[in-house]
Order: sequence, then C-alpha cells, then structure tokens
Amino acid sequence: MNDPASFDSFVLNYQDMVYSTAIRLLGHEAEAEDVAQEAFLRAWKHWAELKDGQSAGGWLKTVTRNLCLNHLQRYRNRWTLFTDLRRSDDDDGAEPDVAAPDEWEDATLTADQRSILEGAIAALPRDQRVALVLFHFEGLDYVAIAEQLKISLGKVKTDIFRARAALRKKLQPLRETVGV
Amino acid sequence: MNKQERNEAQWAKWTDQVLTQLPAHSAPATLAPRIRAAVARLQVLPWHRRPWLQWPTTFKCLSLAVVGATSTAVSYWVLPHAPVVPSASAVVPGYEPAVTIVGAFSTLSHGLFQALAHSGTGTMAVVLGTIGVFWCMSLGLGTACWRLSIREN
Repeated sequence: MNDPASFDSFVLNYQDMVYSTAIRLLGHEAEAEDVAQEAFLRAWKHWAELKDGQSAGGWLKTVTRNLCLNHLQRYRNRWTLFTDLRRSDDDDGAEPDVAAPDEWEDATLTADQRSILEGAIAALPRDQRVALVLFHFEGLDYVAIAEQLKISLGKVKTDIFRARAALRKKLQPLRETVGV
Repeated sequence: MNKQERNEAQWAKWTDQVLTQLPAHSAPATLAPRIRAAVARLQVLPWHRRPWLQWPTTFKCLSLAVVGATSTAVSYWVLPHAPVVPSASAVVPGYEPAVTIVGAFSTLSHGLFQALAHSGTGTMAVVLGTIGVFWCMSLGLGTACWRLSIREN
C-alpha cells in the first residue's frame, strides 16, 4: 500500500527539479505544470518500487524529460513550422564571428544576469532551446540527443551551435560585465 | 583543431559554465496541491473505473483472456454451425435487429469460409495482398488527415 505522507515529502523535495526540467524544455508554464503533475502521478503508480530506492530522483528526471519530449513530438509539425518562420525572421543566415572568451574560470553571475540568461534561453527557437537544454542541463551527448529527438546528428550540432550563437549575441553585454 | 573549432569549444565550455550556475526554477505553489488532488482521485477510484491501461496487470491479462476466449467461442459457434438464415420461428420478439445482425454476419462468414476452403494458394495471396494494400492506403490516408489537422490547429 502506498504511503501518502512519504510521497508528499518526495513531491516537495523534487518539485523544483521536475518543474525546472519541464519549463526549460517546453518553455510554457501551464504545459510544464501539466507535465510535472503527470511525472509525479507516474511516480505514485511506481511508488512501491521507488520509495526504498536511491535512484528515485534520476528516475523522475528521466520520466519528466521523456514526457516533455513526447509532448513536443506530438506538436512537432506545428512548432517546426513556427520555428522555421521565426528563424527566417531573426537570422540572416550568417553566424556572428565572435572571438572566443579569454577567461571563463571566474564567470560568476549575479541574480540579474541569471534572469537575463533565463530570458535569453526562453527566447530561443524551440528546436534550438530543446537541443541546448538536453546538452547543457540534462547532460546528454550529441548522439543521445539525436536519438531522443529522432533527428540527424548534423541537425543537433547545428541547433546547438545556433543556440550558443544566439545566446552569445544576446549576452555580449553580460560577457563584458562578467569579464569572460 | 583549427581556430574556429577551438573558438567553438571554448564557447561551449563558457556556455556550460554559465548555464550550470542557473538555479532551479521554483515550482508554482499550485503544483503540490494539484498533485495531491490527483493522487487522491486515483486512490478513490476502484480499478474498474480507471482507464484500461491503469488496471492492475493481472486484471489486464484476465480481461484480454476473456475477450479472446469470447471472440473465439463466438467465431466457432457462428462459422460452421449456425444456420445461414435464422428461421422466423426461432426469433424471440424484440430481438429481431440482433438476429438480423447475427444472420448477416453468419452469411458473410459462411461465404468467406467456403471461399477459403475452395480457393487456391494464388487466389488467397491475391486476396490477402489486396486487403493489405487497402489497409495501408487507409492507414496512409488517416495519417495524412491527422497531420493536416494538427498543422491546422
């Protein structure tokens, strides 16, 4: 029999992690909340196996990521169309030739800079954002991302490259302030 | 590694460093109560009121076995043994539509049974191939309609 009290404490411990993963991948608060709820409901159904294990957090993160990717896959046709339109509006096709950072060891961000960075990530086209989040936040490599998203390795590299380029374009003032 | 690749690698490292400093988003205050309410609803619902996919595995297997056995029994009863056209005297008043459906099904299946029994391998292959082609066409048409509707929405 499942124990509601221990599950409630599990929810409180992991809700920020689950919601962060969902909001960064989906970029939409209401959808992220729906996915987070679904992830915890799945955890509840497997609570008998999860409550004694050490890997509940990892399990929950993987389930959340897969739920988000399924959600995105379901609406892929629609968002591909829109991101293509946005890309043609935003990009001129040429990548900015920005010099590499000289120092990056001391790149400590202030609260304002973090907020700017979150905004810049949220403003990325969806396919670029998803690839970037999977690479930098979820720790997947290019091959794993290509398999998860069912796209080519080349597209993954291009999306991440473009995402970084867009980020550094928007974060140029931040880079100068932080001194990197 | 050329200069461009080195630049890109350094930018990747810089991006990684700044992104990993970002703290987790705070979950909205409504999330935990929503989850509690959803779990409470799950606890209240008996297994047979939940979607089939959420039934306990034993009941799922049992239900599949019951459906399979029932279908097999009905098919066995209808195919070789049932009369092609039920006699008027055998029809219980009020059940005429059901009897008509069973009669039609029986006639069709009897004809199919006879055709199968007397057809050569080549004919069977053509029939099965045709059914397969039509099935694929239906699937393709359905998928196209579904994708169009998703795109339009």
